[in-house]
Amino acid sequence: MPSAVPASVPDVSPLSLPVVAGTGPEPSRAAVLSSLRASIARLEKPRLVPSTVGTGERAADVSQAWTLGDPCVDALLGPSGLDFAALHEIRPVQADGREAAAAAVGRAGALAFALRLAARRRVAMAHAGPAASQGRRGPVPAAILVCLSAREHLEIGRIHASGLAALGLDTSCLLIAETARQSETLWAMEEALNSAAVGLVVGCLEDLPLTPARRLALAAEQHAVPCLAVTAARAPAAGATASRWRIGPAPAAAHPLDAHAPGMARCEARLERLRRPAGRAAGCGDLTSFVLEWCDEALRFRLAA
Amino acid sequence: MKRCVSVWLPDWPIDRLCRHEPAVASKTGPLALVESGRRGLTITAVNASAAREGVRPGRTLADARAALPGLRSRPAEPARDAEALAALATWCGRYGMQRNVDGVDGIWIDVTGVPHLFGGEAGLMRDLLDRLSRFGLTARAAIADTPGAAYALARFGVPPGRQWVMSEPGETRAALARLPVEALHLDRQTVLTLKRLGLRGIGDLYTLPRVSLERRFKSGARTAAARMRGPPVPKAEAATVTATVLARLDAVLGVVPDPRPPLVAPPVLLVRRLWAEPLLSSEALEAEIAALCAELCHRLVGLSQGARRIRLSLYRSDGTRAEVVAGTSAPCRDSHHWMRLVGGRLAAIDAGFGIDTATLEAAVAETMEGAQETLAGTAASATGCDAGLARLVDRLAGHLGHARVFRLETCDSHVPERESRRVPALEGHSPKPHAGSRRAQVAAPSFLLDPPEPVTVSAASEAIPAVGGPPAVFGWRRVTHRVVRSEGPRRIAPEWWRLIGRPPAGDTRRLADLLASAPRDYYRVEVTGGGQYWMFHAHPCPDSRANAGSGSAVWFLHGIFA
Repeated sequence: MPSAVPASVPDVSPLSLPVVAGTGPEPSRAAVLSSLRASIARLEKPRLVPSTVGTGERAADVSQAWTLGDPCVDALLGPSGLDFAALHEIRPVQADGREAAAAAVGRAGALAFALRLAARRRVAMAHAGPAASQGRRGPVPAAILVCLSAREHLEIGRIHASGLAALGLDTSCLLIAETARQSETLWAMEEALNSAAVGLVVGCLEDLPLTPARRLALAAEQHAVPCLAVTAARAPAAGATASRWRIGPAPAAAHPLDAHAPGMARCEARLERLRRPAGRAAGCGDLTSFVLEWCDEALRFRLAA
Repeated sequence: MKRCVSVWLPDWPIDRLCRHEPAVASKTGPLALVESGRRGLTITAVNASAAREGVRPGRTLADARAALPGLRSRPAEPARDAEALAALATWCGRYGMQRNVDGVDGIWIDVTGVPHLFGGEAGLMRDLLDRLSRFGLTARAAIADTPGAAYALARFGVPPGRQWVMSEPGETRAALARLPVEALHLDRQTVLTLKRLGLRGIGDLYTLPRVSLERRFKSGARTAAARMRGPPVPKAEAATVTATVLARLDAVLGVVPDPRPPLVAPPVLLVRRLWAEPLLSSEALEAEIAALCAELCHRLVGLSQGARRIRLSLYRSDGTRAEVVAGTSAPCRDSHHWMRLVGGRLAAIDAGFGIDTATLEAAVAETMEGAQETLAGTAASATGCDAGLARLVDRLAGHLGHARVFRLETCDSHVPERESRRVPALEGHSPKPHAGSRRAQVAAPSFLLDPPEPVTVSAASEAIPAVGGPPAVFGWRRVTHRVVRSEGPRRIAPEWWRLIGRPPAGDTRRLADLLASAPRDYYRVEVTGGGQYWMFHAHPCPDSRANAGSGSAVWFLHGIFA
């Protein structure tokens, strides 16, 4: 039956499917496109897509975002705050001379800033509650891995538990690893990120070349574990970072109760680079700088007057 | 029935030297090992060639050289001999888990239940002595029911021309009857006294009634002492000597147990593999060890236990041994996890001429209940998190070192450097959180220099601040800092219980003494530019303000506020 062949062809040919099924082709096409966009958005990293799918749910509650706690600074970071699934670099300011003393203080300031950011991250998680697991399977672990090299021990000594406790930072969740070489530090950091068994990783490095930076950033992104790298003042700026901070000492105000006594220590923080959640190009150069003071009761930074 | 092997290495120091230094072994001719004694250099060991010439240990080297001018000498190294003997005892683990060195020239091995692996006791002894002679060692060995009996037979019961002797199970009494009393491993004086009593063989001791032996021994000891015109043996001493002889005899015959500390504590569980052909490639070794791990896990499940520490021993075909130890912070029976812990370290092991035996033991194990496996594979729960962290700790500690992965634990002390201590994370308990009461009281720095670093204070700058205050200018790490503001002092005295036994003032010239015993006045200072430091002034002598500016070494920088 030759007449039956043309009748059966449209049914089996995939090319003719829209014609056969398309009673109204325009709405169907729009629906297909939007569903494709949605699935692409799901596949893509959330922050690269400026749609409601990726960032919308994260920015729903500002208090859940990983921020510094001061409204002026947080406005700069955007509604979603710092990206928790990324690598962040923290560097001390360039010292004038080559003095060991200045280097030590700068390193101590950068590490202390990293530890405070870690505390801010815990605050954000506490606001989010146990239900919101922020892109992870299972709850976010509380432990924080701090990798210190032998150089830290010589330069800034050891982490003093009661000193951090006085700042409101809990040291019982700190897991400290002492390494002999930078390669060991990088290995330990990547291992911790890949295990996803810690809530945050802090590592003290000399410099951060592109390959390790990329590896750390990918591991942080894949397992949604933030990674903070403290690098040296003179090291070249690392790539693959979501943000880069420069931390330096700042003169403190007088103690509120005693004019001769120093008040709470302050730091000057300069945000040198910030990869915007909306996927715009990385901001470079001096975005802005501010003098920050840590509030040990509210566990947040505040802009010093 | 227990079976023990005793190995006697009569020429151990010489054999050890020849094995470690082939240059010594290649030269023939008389050789003696000497140590400096009361009469000058004294010979402690001689090789076969020197023994043929009549040189005996105990003579001075000068005497021996007079008779034999060609005698070479080397210094004796008892410490290295002992170390090598311990290594050989460790190697003997292939014949039995429980083994240890026996004196300076012997090894005992408990081979209970092992001989069938070597085709019977004769096969085991042949294998053992075969390997020892291939190592270039002169050895005599015996197998008996107790380590003491094996000791006696190995040293006094091996017939000439043979290397080993076996006493059938239950035949210990008969086998020992002909041996001299020295074989009981008694001290020289006791042996001498026994011989004077006419008790020359061990068999002579069997026939005597116990009670009368004791009585006879006492009087005999006194007679012997009288005959030697020495001081009479006190009654109590005679009693203890008798007790020693009888206890030794009972232990050797197996009437009372003879417990001996093994070289390593027996493992909870051990699996072993032997290969007909030595393994050389790391891939093959890894595959075999993965199979060993799986087998150990499977057997631990049956005991409902998990291992805290595993020890992998690899025996090379040339008799050396490599060991990998891995610890976990929680009981574990996951073979993949163990492979991750030991696998990375296998690459660093030199296989040498190949590895023919491997044992994997659970050295420390704890009770571990079976966990319900979820369908999804990963447990999305708090315990899942903890397990993940425990594994991370295991890997970090295995790679970086046990003590280098740690947590901070608060201690009950007010001295800053002792306020917290490092607890290795592998020990696996979470530390106590910090006491909240202390938080509001005092400011403490975030980082503590260890040890405190002395700062230089010039005399001129001290005149400016008020008496007792911090210096206006100080030098630290070659930079001059100018103090803007300061807070203090806060007096921290040393803990009184640590001062007990120290001289009252201490030698304040030594920095460590000064830090340990002097009270400190702490100041928080801010310098120009914004850095905040924690400085202290150590008082060499308490309550003496006059000392405040006497030396530049009494100011220290102890911490950084950041």
